[in-house]
Amino acid sequence: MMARFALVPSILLCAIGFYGAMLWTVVISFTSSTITPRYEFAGLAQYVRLFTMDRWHVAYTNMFVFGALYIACSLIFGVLLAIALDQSIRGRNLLQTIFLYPIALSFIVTGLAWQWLLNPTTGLQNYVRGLGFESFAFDWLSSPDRAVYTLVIAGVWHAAGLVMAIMYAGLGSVDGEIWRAGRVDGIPRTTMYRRIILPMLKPVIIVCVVLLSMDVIKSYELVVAMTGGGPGYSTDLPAKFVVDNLFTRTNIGLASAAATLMLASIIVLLLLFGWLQKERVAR
Amino acid sequence: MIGVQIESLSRHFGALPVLRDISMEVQPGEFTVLLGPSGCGKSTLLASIAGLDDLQGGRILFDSADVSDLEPAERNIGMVFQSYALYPTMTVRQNLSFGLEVAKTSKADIQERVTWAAQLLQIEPLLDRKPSQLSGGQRQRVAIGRALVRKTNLFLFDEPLSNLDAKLRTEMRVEIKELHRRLGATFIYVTHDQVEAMTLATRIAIMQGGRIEQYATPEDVYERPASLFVASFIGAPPMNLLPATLKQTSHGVVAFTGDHTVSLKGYPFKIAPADGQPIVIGIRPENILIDGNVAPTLRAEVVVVEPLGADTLVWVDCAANRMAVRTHPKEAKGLSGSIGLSFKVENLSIFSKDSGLRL
Repeated sequence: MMARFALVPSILLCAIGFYGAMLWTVVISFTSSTITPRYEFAGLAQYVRLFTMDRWHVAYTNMFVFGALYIACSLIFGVLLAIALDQSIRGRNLLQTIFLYPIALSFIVTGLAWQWLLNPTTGLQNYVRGLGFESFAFDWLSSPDRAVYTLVIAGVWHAAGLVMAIMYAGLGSVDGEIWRAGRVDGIPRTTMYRRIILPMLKPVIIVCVVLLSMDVIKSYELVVAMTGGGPGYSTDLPAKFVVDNLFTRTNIGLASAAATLMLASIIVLLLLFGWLQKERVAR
Repeated sequence: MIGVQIESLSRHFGALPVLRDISMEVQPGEFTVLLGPSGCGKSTLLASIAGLDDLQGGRILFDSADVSDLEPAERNIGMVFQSYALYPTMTVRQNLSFGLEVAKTSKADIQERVTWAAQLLQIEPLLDRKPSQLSGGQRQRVAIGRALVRKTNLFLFDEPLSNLDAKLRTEMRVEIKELHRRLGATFIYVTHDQVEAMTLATRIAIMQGGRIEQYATPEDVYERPASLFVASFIGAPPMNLLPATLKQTSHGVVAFTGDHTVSLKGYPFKIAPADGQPIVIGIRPENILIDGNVAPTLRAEVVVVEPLGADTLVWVDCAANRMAVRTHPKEAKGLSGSIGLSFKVENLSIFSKDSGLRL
């Protein structure tokens, strides 16, 4: 009994800190609050305003562009790296360490490092031009249409190692006799991976997708460190939109509305994954 | 039908030898069982025959064609694994047909083979299920089916029944024997279960420490074990073993064990025995008679009596050796104290104590 009482403070803290804050945000999103919270019901006014803002549309679309590419590329590279590790015997530990290192870095460090690398005047472009290829151009970072892809490059570099580690553990858990059976059946390795091993690891892949999706939704540091949302607001993401409006533009109502929409997006995603999992169990 | 010749095969993992210079010949249509305790190399030998392991020495021939360098698929074998190794995301039908699809077999042919195998193994109602929806016995059938559709004449089984419960194991054992009879193909079967080996095999290869101790029919292995290891491995309870010393006397060869003298007159020695040679006398429990005569061969003290139903085991102590005597339940009734035992010389197995080999 005492043991349960001892948990009460932390449960309360959790309930108020997390769910209370969420509720408060949702409430605020229906008020006309600006610099400070004002409990004056304004209906959907903040949402209507949000949807008239081009900046919000860019940020919200970016989340899907960045998210889809980030998840897809991280998965592809991570899985390929894991298969490479699974195949080679020598240098396995070294390779694993090398590819795992980026996860140990914060997204801020990743963002800054890639900003230097991709900055046309200091980074890769300048270096290659220095080698004598004067016409070489790689200026995605400063191009409003393409800057979002530089976020993908940096993000994938950061996250592929994690996918690799998880998938490598999954590959290691596959019963060796399945491989032997495949050899007796004369099934080539690539076919084995494509048709048998990777389908077997679907639950592991789903875990990777969930982890990567959370990265996408909360991604803020990477944008701040790498592009600052620019050029203009072309690489804005919802999380950054919310923080900017909350703290620098002092528009609590609008920020709350955006945050509520992010929460709604997450809930939709979670429901989708729950449904996918259920499908898997049912089959 | 394929005959398999194995010529001085050796295999080691690092410094650890697993197979030491193994040579054996499996006749076409034979049901050979590789039997031995864990770590004796039997599964490694099977994997070598399948081509799943690289060899460090020796050759493997199928019908006198060298297959040592061929991939498992090129050897055209069917193999059944201990863990079944079914492809978990595929249905039973896909499990059976996948290898054939990859080998670009025609659709009609695949259909025909799958139907044939499914009928033979009575798994037709299961064809559209996933392996996770099957019981252990059903999975085992599917695994056998996957080997069958390859239309081969050499089947390899790696402890296929060890994951099943006792009742199912007995059923599947009968089915595998029946399958061998119907297919007329060559079967090589690995197990650590001597009952499986005795019931299934036309010949048993008993392995120990990477060597084949004896490769003979089940009767031979049971009645005339080639070594002390075989004698103590086969049979439940195993052969009784009495250490003794050999003596040449005017009445022929005799063995001294404790206070007893056992005449070995008429024993078919393979090598002429030396005087004073230390030996081990082996005798099966069912070959010992409880003897009411005044001058029995041995005298022993009854320790316990174990009724087994059809027969009864009487455990006795004879000159510090614990021995089992299998007898009729009626005869064992009320047995206690000191009893007389006797046996026929032709039922004995005599081993050299030094080499452990049959004399």
